[in-house]
Formats: sequence, structure tokens, C-alpha cells
Amino acid sequence: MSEKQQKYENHMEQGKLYFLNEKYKEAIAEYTKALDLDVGKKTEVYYNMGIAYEGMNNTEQAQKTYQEVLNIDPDHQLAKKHLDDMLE
Amino acid sequence: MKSFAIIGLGRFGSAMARSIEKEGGEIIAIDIDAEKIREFENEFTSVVEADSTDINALKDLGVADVDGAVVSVGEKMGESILITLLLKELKVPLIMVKALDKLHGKVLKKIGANNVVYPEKDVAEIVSKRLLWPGYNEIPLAPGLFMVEVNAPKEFLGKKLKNLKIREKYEANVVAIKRKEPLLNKEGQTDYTEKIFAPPSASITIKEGDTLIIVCNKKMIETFREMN
Repeated sequence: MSEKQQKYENHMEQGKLYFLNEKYKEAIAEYTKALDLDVGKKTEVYYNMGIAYEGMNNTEQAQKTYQEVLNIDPDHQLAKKHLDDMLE
Repeated sequence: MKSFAIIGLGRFGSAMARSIEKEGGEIIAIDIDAEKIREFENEFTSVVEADSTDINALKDLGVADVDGAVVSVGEKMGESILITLLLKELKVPLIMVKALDKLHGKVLKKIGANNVVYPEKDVAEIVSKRLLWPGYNEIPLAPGLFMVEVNAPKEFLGKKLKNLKIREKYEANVVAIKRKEPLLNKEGQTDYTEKIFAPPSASITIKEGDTLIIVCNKKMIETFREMN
């Protein structure tokens, strides 16, 4: 695993930990760092970021972020489900 | 189980039929157009080609025994009025009719339609609110009184419900709180389950991401919107 890839994994892991502790802003900051590294799966980053925005009740950003996932992978079931639930 | 006659399988009629079946109701879907029957015969339990302006046809289909009827026959104003009259004659307890315009709606009310709907207008009102204020849903309970979902305002976060004195300060009652519980799914991705506290304990602490379900007046809905 390259150093960059390792950093990506670390930011994602840290972001998820923050999320599980309901520290949504911090989680989003970690996901953003992971995204900036431009390695790994962007759909994974955007999806987890969308969940964190939803956790903060930031519906607008969550919708935009799920849409980013679907722009890359139109069959991403979880992003689709969350977006549909929000638009219901 | 309640049963409904859906007369006219256009966009509104077919959507109503789909929704009622999904919620566990029974339907008999009727249209005069054989094309529509073919379109929906594999989707709905009971789809019949018939002329609903013929009272004998309605009787034969058992429409006199349904709990309610939905009339949505497109642009045919005269037909929708006639069908509504026939349904009244058959003593159908609840008649919902799609109106084309205000005058049509007035006539339908006069002849006994219990519920006159303007789907495009009704949906536009709901959807425009969603666009303006994402996350807000409101249900009218009585004139001027609403049950509404609001995102927990920032100034409520970290405070106990009893200390917020919402009833005194905002003339509102919190009847439930929806809370997202973070988790990791099987694939290691984040997600959450929703937990509902109804009624919420007075000692519950409001958290970021909570949705409050409140009963309040129209003015207070605006106040809560402005607080976010």
C-alpha cells in the first residue's frame, strides 16, 4: 500500500470514528482530507460524507453529496436509498 | 380492510390505486379505455373495463359496497360530475374527485363530493415547501394548528427538554423526538438507525441531528424555521 493510500485509509477510519461518536463536523473534515488525496474510492468518501451531513440535519449538503455518489456510480444502492428517503 | 373504486386510470388515478394497494387497501380499478386496462391489468389486483357513467355497470361491479371512490377522468368535466352524482345515488360514503379548476371544484362540492382535490396545485404546495425548507413536513390538525417536523434548533442542542420551556416560550408541545443512531453497516460504511422517543422524557437532552415533532400554530412554525 502506498503512503498516500495509507493516509487515505487513516482519514476514512478517523472520519468514521468521529461519526460514530456523533462528531459530524470532524468526520466531514477527515473525509475531505481523504478526498483531497485523490486516491481510493470517491463514492465511499462521498457516501460517508452524505451520512455525516444527514447526521447534522444538513439536508441540502447531504442531497448534493449523495448526488455526487450517483454521478460516479448510478447503481449505488445506499446513496439511492438515502436520497429517496430525503425526497419522499 | 377498506375497499375503494378508482375510476379513471390516468396519472392521478393510477397513482392513487398504487398507493392504496401498497397501504393494504382493496381496490377495483375502472377505466373505459381498453388500452389503460392492458397497461395496468398485471399491476393491480382488480382492473375492469367499464363505462362509469352507466349506473348499472357500477352496480354490477359492486361499487355500491365500497368504502370510498376516487374519480379522476382527465379533462372530461361533464363525465366526472355525472359519475359523482351516480356515486352519491349509490350512497358511496366517501367520494374524492379530481377537479380541473375552481368552478369544477365548486360544482363537485355542491353535488356532494366529500373531497375535491387539485393534484398539481396540492403537490406544488407541498413540494415548494420542501424546496424552501428541506426537512420540514407539516400536517394540519385543525384550523391554525399543525403537527410539524423541525430540525432541532442550534440553541436547543445539549439542553434538557424540560429546561427549554418550549410550551411557555413557543406555545408548542413536543410530542416526539426522532434521533439518528450512528452505526457501521456490514460493509464497514457508516449509516444510522432512527430511534423515536414518543412521548419524549422531560429529562431527554437534545442532540445535533434530532428532529422534533411539534404541535403548534402557523406563526410558531415560522419561528422554528427562522431558528435554524
